[in-house]
Amino acid sequence: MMGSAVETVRPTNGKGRAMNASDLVVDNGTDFWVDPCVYTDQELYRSEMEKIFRTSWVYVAHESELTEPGDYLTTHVGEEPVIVSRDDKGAINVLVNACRHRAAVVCREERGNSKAFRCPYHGWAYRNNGDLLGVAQKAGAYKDGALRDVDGLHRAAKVESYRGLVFCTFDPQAPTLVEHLGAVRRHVDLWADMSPEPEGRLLPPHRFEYSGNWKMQAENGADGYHPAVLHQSAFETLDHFGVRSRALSNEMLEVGKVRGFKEGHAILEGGPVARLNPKLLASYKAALGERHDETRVQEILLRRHIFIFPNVYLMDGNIRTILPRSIDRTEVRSYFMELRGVDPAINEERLADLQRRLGTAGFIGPDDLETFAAVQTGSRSRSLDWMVMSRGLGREEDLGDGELLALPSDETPQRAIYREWFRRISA
Amino acid sequence: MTQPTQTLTRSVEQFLFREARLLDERALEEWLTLFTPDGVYFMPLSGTTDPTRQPSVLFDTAADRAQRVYQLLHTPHYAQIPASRTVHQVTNIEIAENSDETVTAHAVVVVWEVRPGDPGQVGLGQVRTIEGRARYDLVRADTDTSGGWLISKKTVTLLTHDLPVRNLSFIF
Repeated sequence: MMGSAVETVRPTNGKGRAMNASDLVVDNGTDFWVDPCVYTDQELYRSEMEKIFRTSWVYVAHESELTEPGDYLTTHVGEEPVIVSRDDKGAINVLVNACRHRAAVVCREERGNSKAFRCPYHGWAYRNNGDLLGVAQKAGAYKDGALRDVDGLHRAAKVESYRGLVFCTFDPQAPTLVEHLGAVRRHVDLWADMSPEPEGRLLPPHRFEYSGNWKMQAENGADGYHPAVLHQSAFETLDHFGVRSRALSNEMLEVGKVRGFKEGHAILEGGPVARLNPKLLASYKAALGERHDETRVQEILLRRHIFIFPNVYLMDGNIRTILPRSIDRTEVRSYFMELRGVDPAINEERLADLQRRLGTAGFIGPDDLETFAAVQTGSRSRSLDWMVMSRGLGREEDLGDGELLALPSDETPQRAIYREWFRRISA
Repeated sequence: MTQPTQTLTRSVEQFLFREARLLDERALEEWLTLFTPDGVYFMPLSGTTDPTRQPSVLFDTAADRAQRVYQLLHTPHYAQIPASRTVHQVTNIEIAENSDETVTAHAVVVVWEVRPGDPGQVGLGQVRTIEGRARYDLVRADTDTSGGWLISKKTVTLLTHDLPVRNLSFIF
């Protein structure tokens, strides 16, 4: 038979099974399965860069990193190099860091302050709000209209900020940031209210890299099932020295909760925030009590790891960002957040606690990163059809507005992440 | 400040080489004894001028070092199963100051590290290097075990101190 139609060549997942988006996730009420090729398939990774990182709201900066007009930092949205700058009018811009001439990155500094960016290659220049400032030696060089499309650096479609957190999206049809936050917003408010004077201030980050896919970190921050096992060495060490950290206590696992949100966000919460001696804790509570009633103070003091899909965790001591570098290489940055309006000793205690636990040479952090390498190896298996993330199905509580509540070891967060991931990948 | 004598220089060098060997041999409890009781081990990030208020790679007091060693030697520390094997290379030693009781020594430290195991597993079987410049503030010590010196402050500025770091769960 003469076939006139061109057969669509579907990428396979290496197991001889044609890879439709629908083949990647099974979600039927009893089972929630994810194909481990989500960590290994290059086509899928490229698809993610487009369908996740260019459609969603992506966290890029905190306002405290850009306090003065002219302040800028460079980072990536997925694999898109961007400049995040505060212009002379005080607005925050997310500009694509690629010269409109011949694609060179116009700014290679990670941070600075500048009124303009001048491409070092041929000298084309742009204001810090992205507008084209000038084309070097332009007179007589171009036919009329030759530069008609060049009005400046390309830009993210939208930039919005919430409680100091700056997000951008490349989708002009995206809902507002507040709509994207949905029911997680009230939890973000409680997190941000940890700083009696809004908002907290970020300090330069601890930086890590691991040989694994970016989604492993996304899944891990709200995973309440693993600490008792993977971080056993940390618990044992603290017990041995009689300094069991309240922040590392089993309280989080005993009285804590997890939450999943229909927008892909997730939370692991439980136990008291930070490890402060009684005197400092009293001082902290008093500072909070000047702004909030007692009930709210108690809510604020709950330790939270809030995942905002797809790339940022808001934690009790830090903001943790996830930067995919390749399918199996990921950079993670952990920015300590200084509270404002508190006794400086409180920030010193919080920094020491965060750094010991989750710093570059912390006694908890490296175990997670090594586990991601282990998952990357295992996910290459051709026999491993599915990863099973069914824990807790059937015993979640639906709070309405797309928010599910569950026990801390349930995999509600991971399901929330993959449901939203799947929705965007399949679109 | 006087020029260090050959004897002093040799003595300091031998001390630094011994510290390196203890770390490579995983004689970590003995390594702990090389510090003064208030001795500090500090690895800054860019711009860490006050490690109590700004983040650093690490800022360890004696208690912190003891906990680190305990975790490595006596608990199932996943990031160190299998445990890193290291070769600490200490070179370019300059004695910058000396008085009767104290010495400051600058050195280059390069650590070659490998997690032994199946190279087919991600993260194992690959030798990597971690480079840094070290500054040792040393005080004279009377005890035989210390080799004549104790560390009051060891400061290591990693070459990659403001870049992503992989598993730094062993002692640099």
